[in-house]
Amino acid sequence: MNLSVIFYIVGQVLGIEGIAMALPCVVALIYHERQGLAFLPVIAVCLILGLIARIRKPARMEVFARESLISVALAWIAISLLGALPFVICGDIPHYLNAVFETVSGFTTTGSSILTDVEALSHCMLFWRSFTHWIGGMGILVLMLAVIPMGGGKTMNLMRAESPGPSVGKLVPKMKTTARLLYQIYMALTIAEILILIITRMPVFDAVCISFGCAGTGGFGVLNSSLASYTPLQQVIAAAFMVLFGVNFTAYFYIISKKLKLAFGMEEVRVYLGVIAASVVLISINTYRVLGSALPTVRHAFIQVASIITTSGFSTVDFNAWPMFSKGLLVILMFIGACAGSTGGGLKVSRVIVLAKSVRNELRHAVQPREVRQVYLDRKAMDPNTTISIYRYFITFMLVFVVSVVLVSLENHDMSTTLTSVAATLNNIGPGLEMVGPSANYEFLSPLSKIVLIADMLVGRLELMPVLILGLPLAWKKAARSSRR
Amino acid sequence: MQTLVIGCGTIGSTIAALLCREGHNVTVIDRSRDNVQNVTDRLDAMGYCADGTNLDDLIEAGVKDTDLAIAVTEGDEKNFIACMLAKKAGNCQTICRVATAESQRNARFLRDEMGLSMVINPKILSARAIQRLLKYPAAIDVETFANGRVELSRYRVRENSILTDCPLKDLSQRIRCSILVCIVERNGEVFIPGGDFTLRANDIISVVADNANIMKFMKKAGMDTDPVRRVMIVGGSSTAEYLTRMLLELGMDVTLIEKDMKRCEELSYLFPKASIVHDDGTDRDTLVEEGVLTSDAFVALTSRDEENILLSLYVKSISGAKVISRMHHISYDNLMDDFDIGSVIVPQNIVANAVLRFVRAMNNSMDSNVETLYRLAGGRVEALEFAIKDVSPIIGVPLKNLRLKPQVIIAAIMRRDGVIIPGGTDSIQIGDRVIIITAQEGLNEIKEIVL
Repeated sequence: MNLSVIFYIVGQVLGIEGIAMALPCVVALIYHERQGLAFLPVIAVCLILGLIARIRKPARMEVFARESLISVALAWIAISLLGALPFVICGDIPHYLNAVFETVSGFTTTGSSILTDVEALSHCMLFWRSFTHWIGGMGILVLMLAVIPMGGGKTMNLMRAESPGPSVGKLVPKMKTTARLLYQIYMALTIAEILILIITRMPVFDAVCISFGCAGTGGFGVLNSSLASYTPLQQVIAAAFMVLFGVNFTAYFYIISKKLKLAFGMEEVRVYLGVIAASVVLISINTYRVLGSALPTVRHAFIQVASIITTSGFSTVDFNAWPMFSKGLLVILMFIGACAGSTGGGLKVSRVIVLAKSVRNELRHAVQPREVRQVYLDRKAMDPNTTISIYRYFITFMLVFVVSVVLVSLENHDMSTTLTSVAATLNNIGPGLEMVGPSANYEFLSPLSKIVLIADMLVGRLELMPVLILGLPLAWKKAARSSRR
Repeated sequence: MQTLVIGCGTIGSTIAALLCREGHNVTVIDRSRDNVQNVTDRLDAMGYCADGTNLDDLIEAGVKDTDLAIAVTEGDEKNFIACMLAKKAGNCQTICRVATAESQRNARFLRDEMGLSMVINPKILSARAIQRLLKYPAAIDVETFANGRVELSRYRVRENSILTDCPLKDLSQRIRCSILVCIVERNGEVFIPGGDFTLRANDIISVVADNANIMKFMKKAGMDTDPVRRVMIVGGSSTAEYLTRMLLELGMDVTLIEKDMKRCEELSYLFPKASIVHDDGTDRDTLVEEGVLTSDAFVALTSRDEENILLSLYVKSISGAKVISRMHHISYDNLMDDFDIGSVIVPQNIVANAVLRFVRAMNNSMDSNVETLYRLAGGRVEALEFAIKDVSPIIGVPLKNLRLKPQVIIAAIMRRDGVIIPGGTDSIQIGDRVIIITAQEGLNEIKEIVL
C-alpha cells in the first residue's frame, strides 16, 4: 500500500477545506461577528497540512482501488474532525462530539442536528453548516480532481470511491473535465435557486443557506421551523430544486450537449419522477382528512415527498403527526433515495429498479425454469457482475442497518425512534420519526449512539465500501509489490 | 484532440495509453467488457462496451465530435467498416489496421478510394523494423530521420572499447568521425549526457550520425560492420513471410524453420529461393543442423514470447550472430536491456509510434511544429524533428550561447543537402530541420527548448 499517496490526497483535500472556510469568514465580516475568528486557527492547520502534503509529493502517484477507498474514507473523516473545530472554538456547540456529529451530518448531507435552537447560532456558523452540505453534496474529492492536477490515469478509482451509484462513469474522456463539468452544472443550478429565492423576497442569507441545503440535498435550515416559516411559493421552489438535485447529473450533461432524447429517456430518472408523483398522490389522499383542504394537502405532500426521497430532510410540517400509512411510505422513500450520480443518498433509484426487476425475473424463473432472461436497464442488458454487486450492496446495507439498530436500541427508546434514527442517518435524510422527528433533534442520544450514527452517515454517504474496509486488516496490508522501478 | 480507438486489445490499449499521455481525449470501444474495464481502470480515458461496427454505438461513443478514429480490432473487415462509418458519420480522419496479406493488397486502393487517412499493418511494420536492424548488425535499434539521411542507432558499449573512459566532448576527435552520443542508458536509468559525461562498459548508447559516419563509427569502435548475408528465421508467421520477401529482395540467404507442414508448403510456393525447413525450431540440434552457427543473423518469430526469449538466449550463447526476437507482452521491456538477448521487436509499440507520428503531424496543422517523433529508451526519451519556418529567438545564436533546458540536446541540423552534427559554434537557421532529443515530454515548439 502506498501510504504517501493517501497522505497526499488527504492533505490536498484538507487544503481545499481550508480555502472553503474563508467563505464563512467573509460572512463573519459582513455581519461583524467575532465568532468568525474561530475559523482562522483551523484554516491555518488545514493549509499547513495541505502544504506539507504538497511538499512531500510522492514519487509514485498511482492510486489503486485500495488507496482510493482508504484515502476517500480518511479524507472525509479528516474534514469532519477539522470542520467541527470552529463550532467548539467559538463556543456555539461546546461539546466536541456534538460538533463532529453536526459537521458529519453536514458533509454527508444528512441534516440531522443536535441543536435545539438553531437560531442561536451566529451567521457565520450557520453559513458554514450549510456550506458543508454544498461541498459534501457533489463530493470534495471530485472538487479536488477538478482543481488539482493528479496525473496518471487511475484517478477513476477516486471518483468511483466517492460518487454514488452502482456504476460510476465519466461524462467526457478526461477526468478533470468531467469533474469540472459536474461542478459547473452543480454551481449553475445552485445559483439559479439562490436567485429565484431572492426574487421571491427571501432574505439573501436565508436564500443562500437554503439553496446550499437543497443543492447538497442536506437539510440544514437557518430557522428552528426549517422551511415552515417561508411562504408556500418559496417552499415549493425549494422542493422543486431538491427534486432537480436528486436527478442523475448525466441527464443534465445530455441536455447541455443537446441529446434531449437520451436525457428524457433515462429509465432511472423516469422511475424517480414516477415514484415522486405516485407518493404525492397517495399521501395526499391519506392526509386529506388531517388538513381538510385540497391545495395545502397536496403542497405539503409534495414538499415532504421531495424532501425525503432526495434525502434532504427539510420539513414544512410535522409529518410525525400524519397517519401511519403516510409515515410508512416516507420511511420506504428514505430507503429508495435519489438517483445515482446525483447529490442525494439512500439506496439509489437505479439499484432499486435492478432489485425489483431481479425479483420479477426470479418469480418468472420459478414458473418457467428454462426461460433465459436478463435484467434490462435503459433498454440494455445489465452486466451480470453489476447486478450481483447490487445484491451484495443491498445485503451489506441491510446488515449495517441491523447492527446499527441493535446498538442504538441500547438507548431503550421506542421502536420508531430507534429504527428511523438509523434509517434517517444511514440514508442521509436527517429527521426520522417520533423522538427524532422533524420538530425534534438528536441531542438527547448517548455518546455511543451518536458515534454509531456518525459512522452510519459516513457509511451511507460513501456507499459502504470506503468506510467499511477501514476495519479490514487486508486493506492495511502492504501490497506485495516492490517499489523499485 | 478527440480520438476514438475502436478495439482495445494489446495494440488498441497501447495506442490509447500513448494518446492519453500526449493529453488527448481518448474514448475506447470494445466488445469485451474486460478489455474496456482494463483501459478505463488504468488510463484517464472513457470506455464503451459496444460494437465499433454498429453506427448507433459509434454515435453514442461520440463519433460526431471525433477528430480521429483508429480501428485496430482483430478483423480487417470490421476495421474497414468501422472506419467507413466513422468517416461518414463523424467526418473525421481514420486509421485502419490490416492484418492479412489479402487486405494488404487492397490497402492502397481502399485507402485512396475510401478516403482512409492511413492503413497500418503491424506485421509489415515489424518486418521493416527487423530489416532495418539487419542493415547494421551491431546496432540494437535503428531509427531514421529526414527521409533516411540521419540515423539514430543504439549500441551496447563492450568491455575495453575505445569509447570508454573518455569525456564525450573529446570523443569525436578521439575516433575522428562526426557523431553525437545523445542518450545513455545505465542500470535502468536514462541520461541525456553533457560533454563531461564518461561512458562505461555495458552502457547502452544512442548515437546520431549520417549514413557514412555511422559505418566509420562502428569500425572505429571495433563493432561488427560486415553486411548480413545469411539469416535464419524461426516461426513462419505472416511477419516472417513479409520479412523473407524483403530479405530475398536484398539478395540475402534465408532459412526459415516452421513446425506446420502445410504452412511450410505455402511458404515454399511463395519463396522458391528461400530454404524452408519443416521442423521444430526450438530444438537445438535442428538449429545447429540447419546452420545457425554460420548464420549472420537469427530472428525468433514464434508465436510465444517465452520461446523467443529462450531461443535468443541460446543462440547468443553459441554463436556471434545478430539476434532479433519479437515480443508481444511488454510489461517487462525494461528488463530486456539487462539481459543480453540482442534486439527486441515489440509490434504494438511500433504501431503505436506510427499512430503517434500521424497524430503529431495532424496536430502540426493545429498547434505544434513537430514533424516526426520517435520514442526511445522504452518511451522515456523522445526524438523530435522540427522544421524551422518562422523567426524565433533561438535562430542565428551559436549553440554554446543558448541556455538549453536540462535533459535537452540538439542532435542534428539538416541544412539543404548536408547534415551537421552540431558543435558549440553552429547555429540554427531558417529553413533548417532540427532534431531534438529530450527526456521532457510534450515539447511542441522549437523555442521551448531554451529556458
